[in-house]
Amino acid sequence: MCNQIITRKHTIALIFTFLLGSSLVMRVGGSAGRDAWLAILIGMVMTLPMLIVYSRILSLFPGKGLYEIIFTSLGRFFGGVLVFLYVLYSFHLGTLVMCDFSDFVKIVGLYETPKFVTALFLGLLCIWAVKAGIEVIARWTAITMPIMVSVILLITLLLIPKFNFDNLRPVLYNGMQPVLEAAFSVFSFPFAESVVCLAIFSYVKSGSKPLTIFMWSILAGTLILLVTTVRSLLVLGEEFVKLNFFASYASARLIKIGDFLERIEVLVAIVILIGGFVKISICLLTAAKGIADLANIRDYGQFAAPLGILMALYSVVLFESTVEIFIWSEKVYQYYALPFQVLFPLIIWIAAEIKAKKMIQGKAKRR
Amino acid sequence: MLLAVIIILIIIMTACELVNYYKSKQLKTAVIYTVILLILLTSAVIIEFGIKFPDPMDLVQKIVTFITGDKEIQ
Repeated sequence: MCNQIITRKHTIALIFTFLLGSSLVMRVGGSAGRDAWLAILIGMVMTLPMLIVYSRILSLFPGKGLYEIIFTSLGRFFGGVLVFLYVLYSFHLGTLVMCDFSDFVKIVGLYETPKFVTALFLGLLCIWAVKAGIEVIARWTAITMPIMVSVILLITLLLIPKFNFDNLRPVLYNGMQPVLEAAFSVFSFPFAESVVCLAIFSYVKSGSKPLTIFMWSILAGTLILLVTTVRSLLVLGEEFVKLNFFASYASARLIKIGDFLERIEVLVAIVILIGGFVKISICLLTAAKGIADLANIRDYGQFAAPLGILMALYSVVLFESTVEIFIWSEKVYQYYALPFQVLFPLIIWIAAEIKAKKMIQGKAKRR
Repeated sequence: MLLAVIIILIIIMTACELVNYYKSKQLKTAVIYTVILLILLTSAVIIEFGIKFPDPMDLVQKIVTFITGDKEIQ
């Protein structure tokens, strides 16, 4: 497990797919209404300082992941507490994503099937992927990413005849306040969630610049998010997007070319599930890796099975309805995730700077 | 049904993985694995029998409501 290495391109693909994971199924920046595209852009700009912080943390200790850096800079006890909190966050995030996807599958396809069955099979697939290792997940993502992007662009092209540009006007009708609130929501979901990916950087090929990796993945992710959000707004309109839980899927249902090309939304469902699978796998992997690092065990794959099943079980009882999921993700999640995405990384950054300086001074004295 | 599925899965995981960890004397791994399996079993029992248990997410929602004053969250 420890000898696995992923290339820069694979890491970009991994973070890109991670970001799109549940953002393709859930509406992003939905509270801004028809200005959601603006909220996404502002949210992306808000994320940039944090990306610089994440990259700086990784650059101070090249070849190490988040958990190793935490232990090095904060010591075994305080570091252990922080790593444990990150394990809980990764696990909870994975459970939330699994909940979104099992709900999506239940609503659009398998109405009679219990949610636990969908979650369990998704969980088993993720366990298999995590046991195979990060390299396998990364290579698989590199193969499926172009397919995902192609499908999204194809659906957008096919929907062009149904675009109604009046759906985007008037811009900022309700003022800047809802847009800024939505931008804050977009910052925490999905952009700053990339903090979870910091843990996999111990497997990234040496010499890769973390900031470049983050920038490329965030830029590509923003572009695709903008495309899907604007497409849904142009096709369905603000009111319908607000009413529909899965707007991206709903807009694809409208495609009908002649009598031979229809029900193309299956493609969207496949793309959505690919994204979800990657996101849950990364969350499961980082949670398992955190536990392994806490116990000084090298093989994180050993904990994948029980954690994956636990994720599937909790995803069933996490929320009582789809409405609750949307309220949580739009109104509560940003505050809940703030310490993990902003506060703790800032603490780790300061501690890492001090530790790195001490190490340099120590080396200079020895010479 | 949920509890039955979880028990079957726990038996499979014990037979295929946990026993091997004990046999190969990876005791730390075995202990952590056992703890997670116990949490899994306890959670399944709680869910199956509908035992009331304080939900940490409710607490988070209450704190956020207190901070933001947004009653729609509740």
